[in-house]
Amino acid sequence: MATPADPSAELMLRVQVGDAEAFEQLVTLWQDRLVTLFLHHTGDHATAEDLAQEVFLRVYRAREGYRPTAKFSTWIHTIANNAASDLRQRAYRRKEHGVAASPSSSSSAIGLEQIAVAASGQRPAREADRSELQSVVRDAISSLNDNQRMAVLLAKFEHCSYEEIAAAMGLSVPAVKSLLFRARDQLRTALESYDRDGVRAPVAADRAGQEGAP
Amino acid sequence: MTDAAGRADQPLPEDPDAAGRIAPPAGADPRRDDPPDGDPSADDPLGDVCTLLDSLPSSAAPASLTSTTIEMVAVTAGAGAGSTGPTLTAGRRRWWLVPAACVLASLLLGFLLGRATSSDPDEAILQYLPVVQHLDVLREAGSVAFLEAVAERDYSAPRRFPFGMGMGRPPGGRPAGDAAGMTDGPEGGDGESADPWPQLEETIASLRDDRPFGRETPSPLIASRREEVGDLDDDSLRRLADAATAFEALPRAIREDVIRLARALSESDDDAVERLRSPARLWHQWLAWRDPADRRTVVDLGQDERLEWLDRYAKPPGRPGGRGFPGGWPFPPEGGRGERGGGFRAPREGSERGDRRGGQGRQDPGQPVVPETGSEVPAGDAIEPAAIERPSAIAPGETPQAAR
Repeated sequence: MATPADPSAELMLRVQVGDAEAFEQLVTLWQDRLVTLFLHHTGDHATAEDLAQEVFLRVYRAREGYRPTAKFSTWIHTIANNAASDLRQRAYRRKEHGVAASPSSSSSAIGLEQIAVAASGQRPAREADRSELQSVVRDAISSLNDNQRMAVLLAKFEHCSYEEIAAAMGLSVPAVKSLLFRARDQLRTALESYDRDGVRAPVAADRAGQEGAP
Repeated sequence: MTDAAGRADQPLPEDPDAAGRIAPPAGADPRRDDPPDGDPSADDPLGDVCTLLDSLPSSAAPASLTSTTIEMVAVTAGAGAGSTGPTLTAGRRRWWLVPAACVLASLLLGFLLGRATSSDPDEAILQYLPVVQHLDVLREAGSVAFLEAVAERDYSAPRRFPFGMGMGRPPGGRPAGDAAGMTDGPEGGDGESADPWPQLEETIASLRDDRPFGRETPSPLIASRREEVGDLDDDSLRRLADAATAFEALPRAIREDVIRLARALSESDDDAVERLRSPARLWHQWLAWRDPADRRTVVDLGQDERLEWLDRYAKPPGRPGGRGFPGGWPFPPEGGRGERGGGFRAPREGSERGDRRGGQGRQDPGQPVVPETGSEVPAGDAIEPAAIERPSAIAPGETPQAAR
């Protein structure tokens, strides 16, 4: 049962009885988090906003079926995962029918080789600044498959527990653990040239630079 | 969309405790979190990459997104957004109602129209029940035009009793009326005074009593006839059914002739009826001379063929086309030689009469003999009309010898 202190659940209960103001507050409360989640998931800001709106629309439509048996966040994460999954399926169908998929949905097309090249320090060392780190991490996130990426994003940005991730994604807890384990290894491989502070390791960078030199 | 929203309704686990938390609350160091399940490798699920992920910026939704979202939800879901899903679902479920209703309405309309336009199959028979009941007599009489033609041609009545009928006695073992509803001609010992066709009088009387018939028959009369038919015994009902079948099987022209004749005979004008009754009786008398087995064939002839048949047998030889008939010419009108003496027979050698005539009655074998007045020919020796060809060449008053 959701705790009484869960403001989102309280707002949702008010939405359930037709409180439009509560719905607006709910949107205000969650839109940034959802847009962030979808932005890192799809890599495209417009798509992220569209998906966030889609989630709010589904929340409103499903308001009568809402039961505060769990955290509201778990409920809305489930809807968010479904929306992302539907987008993925639509993109897959478009691809099947010969329609080019949007760049945001083809994030998985970015291979590890490309990430490794970006992170190998082929570019000048001084360009490996924060912006570069963001790009490299974004590419690394994009290299994960959809479930891994969603699990990582829920864990990192929504601070969800294994159980919450499992509930939101319709998976078992061991499956979520396995997802996250493999995602971590994959990310570690892609970001091995950076230390925890985001600074690129000099040895690795130099070695990469030497290897990349003519 | 609805499906995805529906999936959001699936039962969710209870709020997990803090031990299951993977990432720390905002601002906390995720590396200090307890391991989720005691697995050393799961000390920090994201491990050292977690810090690198912090480099990803938190995106802020544009200020207009809230209002845009609210408007979109308001427009999409409408004022009664809560019922949008069910409304759409109900709409999908009810899409077939309109075509189904159209089909049902069409079927109902067709049924009503069919019922209004198509009548009871028995009703047509009930409308013409008097005609059906006397179909045999009416069929034998033919048509108004035929009877008028018979009256116009002034045929003479046959002078002999019908085929196979002895004078003053009915044919042995045969009822007065055969299967065709025809009598064998004058019955009873009083000859011409008897009604030659009593069934015709019954038909006329019945048609007059049961008027009207046809399409102008009122519903109460049809209902009355229905009850009347319902009260019939099995044999009468079977005969009526056979007659109805025969009536329906008639060609349209003949059926119309029969109906027209029935109307004419049912007229209240006695003179008009009499103008048809007399030729009908005459026709029946001539028909009665026919072999019973062949009468149906003659009845089925058309008007012209009937008149031709009458011309062959009923016209006096003096009239064009007449060939005479054993029942009429060239036999004496009546009396004298006896009604049954008109038959042709081969001369009997050594007969008493032939001897008395001194050989005058002897003929060459195979030559027809015209019996003299008063000659007695045993019943049964009469020659069938169909076999008579050569005597027709004998003119009235001529003897066979003169003809030779």
